Amino acid sequence: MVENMKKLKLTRDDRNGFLFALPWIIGFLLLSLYPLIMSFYYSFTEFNFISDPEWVGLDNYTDLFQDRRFYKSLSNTCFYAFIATPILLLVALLLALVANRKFKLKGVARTIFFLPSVIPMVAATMVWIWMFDPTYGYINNFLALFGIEGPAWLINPKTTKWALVLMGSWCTGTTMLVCLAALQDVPQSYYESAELDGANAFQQFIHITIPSVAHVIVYQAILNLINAFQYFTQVYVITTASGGNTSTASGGPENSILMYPLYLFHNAFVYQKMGKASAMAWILMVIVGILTFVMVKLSKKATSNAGGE
Amino acid sequence: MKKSIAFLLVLCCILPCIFAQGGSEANVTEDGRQIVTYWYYHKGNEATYQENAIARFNASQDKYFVEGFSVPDKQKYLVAMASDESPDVIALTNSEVISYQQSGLLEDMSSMGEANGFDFSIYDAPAVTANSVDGSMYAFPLTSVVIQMFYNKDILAAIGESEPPTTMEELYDMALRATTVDESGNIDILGYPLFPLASARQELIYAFGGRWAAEDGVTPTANCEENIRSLEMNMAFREKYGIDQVQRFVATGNTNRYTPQDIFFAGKQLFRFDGPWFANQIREYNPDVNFGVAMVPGTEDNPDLLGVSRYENTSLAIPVVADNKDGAYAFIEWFVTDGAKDFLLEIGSLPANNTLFDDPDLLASNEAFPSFMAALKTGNGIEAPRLSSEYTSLTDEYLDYVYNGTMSPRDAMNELQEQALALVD
Repeated sequence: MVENMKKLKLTRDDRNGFLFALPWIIGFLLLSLYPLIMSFYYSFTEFNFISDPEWVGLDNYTDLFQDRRFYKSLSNTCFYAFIATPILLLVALLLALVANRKFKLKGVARTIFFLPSVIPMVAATMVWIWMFDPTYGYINNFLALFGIEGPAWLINPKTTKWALVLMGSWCTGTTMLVCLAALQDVPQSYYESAELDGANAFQQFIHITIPSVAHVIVYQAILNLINAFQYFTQVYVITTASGGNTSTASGGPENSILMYPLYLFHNAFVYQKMGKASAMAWILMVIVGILTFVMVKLSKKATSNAGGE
Repeated sequence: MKKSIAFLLVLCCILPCIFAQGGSEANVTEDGRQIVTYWYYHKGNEATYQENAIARFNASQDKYFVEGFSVPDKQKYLVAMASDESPDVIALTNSEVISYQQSGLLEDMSSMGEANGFDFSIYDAPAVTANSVDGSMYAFPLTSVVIQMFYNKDILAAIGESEPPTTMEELYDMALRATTVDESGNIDILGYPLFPLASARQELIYAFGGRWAAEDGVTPTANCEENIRSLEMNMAFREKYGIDQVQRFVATGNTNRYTPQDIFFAGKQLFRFDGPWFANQIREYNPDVNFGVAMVPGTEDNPDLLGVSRYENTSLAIPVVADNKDGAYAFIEWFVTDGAKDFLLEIGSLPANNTLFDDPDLLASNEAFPSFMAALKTGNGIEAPRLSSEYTSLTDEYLDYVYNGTMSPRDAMNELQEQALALVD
């Protein structure tokens, strides 16, 4: 026992290391852990910033499970997460394949592909709002060239979410870059062997490229899925910016783009129901936790199927 | 030595965090005047006009000195009032006055006014009730916002009319005659004032005598017959020209609102319910638009509703935790009386103080003001419901169901009423 205690005795380096880490530790305790614990506590209270929190037990949770807009926001978010994520990944992979080819101005193309990811999201969303204008917008004018009458993207509840998917697929630079790095790691000898065996480009893509980068795709899917459940800036701008005020409903036309984080924000800062908002945050954490667990399991399976570890 | 350096480095990291919020400020100026802190939410030019007003007050004073701060983020108001860092005076909307006072955050201005001999007759009934809780005013209103009707005289002349409508029935008839569509069925000129949507929710409803809440402000009345009647006329227009076509036109209107491409500036809108600032924007973006201003119509059954509109204020209040309440009161009283006119002339807003309704300088400052002042004098201003902002969110959602043809006006309003009652419970 005494021997073990001696082993645990901190050396001078340990102490110095701890002291150097102390500012971060204090920051973590005060700015992350404390708010986390408090939000859990608030989720069982009625709290509006001003008055003291009042304990209400599970009322916030039961209210949420009876709240029509809670389910609507969850369903809108799930739509975006499970429809947009695969599309985003596909677009990113295709762009990465293009960027991986040898051609003149390859560097320029890669820059152009990545550029949307460094544009501030608020500015980009404002531009997209203009592009989605049913009468003067570039998108409908482009469709009109082919005789197609484009929809009223941001005012028709049937098309608002698809407008978000379109907007999201434009901004896949980071995912594209990761896919590109993975593609560059695929040994060239695989393709040479496949060519000798008579495999065409599509067969090479299906049987070599996809399995080789599967682990990266699944990892990116997890990240994009988690990001989708935190999708906020774009819908906030669309629903509040005067130019993008397609409907006065706080979640867009018929609340069709009332995403989960946006409804959480409304509860916290518009309706001043911090308790309900905290409960929503914890439910979101559980959902994202479950999804991440499932995706990690799938990731391991995909990696092992692809001949990985 | 190493240990000392390590400690110093750690202290360098920690101390700024600890003392960043520290430091106390003197509450008296060098010349001995008491400092009054004033937070307003205005920014840009409007903040400059606030500072100009503050400078005029300070120049008139040897007792108080106001320090103004532009704080557009209202969350900071709440945080400050919940701590001991509260300003002495805050500018806020009348809806916020009600909301804040429901949590007991504001001083009773009625009592303070009575104690200081304030002349309450400068406020008409809408201004008093919009800033009162349980019969006491908790803020003194400085500016008013009402919405009235702008119309395009050329489009009106094209349908053979020379005068704007005074009833909604006349307006609807003119709107049908003025609306034009292109060969694809897309609307070219919109006759009925469906845009802006906020006006459709308020003035188009109020013009029929409709209300979102009863006189008490807290009982929802979403499914009252007047609301439904208004929405039925709204939908009759939409269905006549195609719901999708109308929505497209409204979407374009929204995207380009208050820009040089605004549909009214482009001569594509006959009637527009908007605020007095709209006149200045017309002059700025397209001075060629031949427009007039008139009061929002009433109905044939109820012509007294002429000039009916939402009624909102920017008001001045004193937080209960303010340090210098006497100084705060002195500044507010000056601002809503002697200091009001110069400020209103600069910022271009309507007065809340009724002694300024006939002020020739104010009337001459904006060509829309005569109609707007006339509307203020009718006392037909309607305060927003005192139900939670969640009710407004729900209302907007159900209006979407109506506008998109997803639900009939009656079904939507009945369902909204149920939801609203659940909120009240």
